[in-house]
Amino acid sequence: MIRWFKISCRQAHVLLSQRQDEVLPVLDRMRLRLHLTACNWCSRIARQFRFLTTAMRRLDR
Amino acid sequence: MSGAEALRQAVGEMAPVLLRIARLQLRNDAWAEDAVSETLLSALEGVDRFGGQSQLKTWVVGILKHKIIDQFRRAGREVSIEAATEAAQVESFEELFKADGHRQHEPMEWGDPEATLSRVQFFEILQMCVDELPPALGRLFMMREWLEFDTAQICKELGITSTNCFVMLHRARMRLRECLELRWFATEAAR
Repeated sequence: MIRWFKISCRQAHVLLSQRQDEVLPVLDRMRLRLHLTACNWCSRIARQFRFLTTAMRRLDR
Repeated sequence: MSGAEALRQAVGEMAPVLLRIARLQLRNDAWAEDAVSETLLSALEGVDRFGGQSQLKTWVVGILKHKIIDQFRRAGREVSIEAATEAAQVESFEELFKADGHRQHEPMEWGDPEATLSRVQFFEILQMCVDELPPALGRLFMMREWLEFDTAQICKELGITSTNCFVMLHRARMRLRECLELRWFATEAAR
């Protein structure tokens, strides 16, 4: 059961990007949440991707 | 000079800035000039309706975004061929991960987002990093994050599969975060 939910950092990075672009399927959302509770590095990447979206919207040039 | 007249003059003076934005985004001078001419025409026609609640520049750039989107629609086919080619290039950031899929190195902590966003130089670095993306990747990313298209719409406009869209956007984000870390967050300027 837990194997089903376990994802690597590589997979988590992909889902973190995809999450900025669409609502993730429920299973992926659960996998990602489980991974993020255990992985500080990926949580950092999560904040950075969100930050990137905010920064781009303010790029008025 | 009346208020409306002053506004018209201010709109006219924005032309070089608008052209720079359009060129960066469209990477084609003829399309960029079309988009800017149309923007100036709409802005000049609409000046009387411009209530001044929003900043003039924000309002005009908003019009330009729509004109750029129109240009994308017209140019869709050419852009999509280029996008498909770039999507096919394999780049999986192997060096970032160990064989088991876990990260090799700790990503930097970027600190307080608002503090960063208050720095003008940060946006210059961000702009530079976006400009350094391969052209089709840069355009796709700008369509998503700057023009705020939704992903399904982008895929449809460019005629690329949604999987390719996600792969390319992921690739763009990974490159940008590397670039920002190197050029901004790891430097003195960030402090």
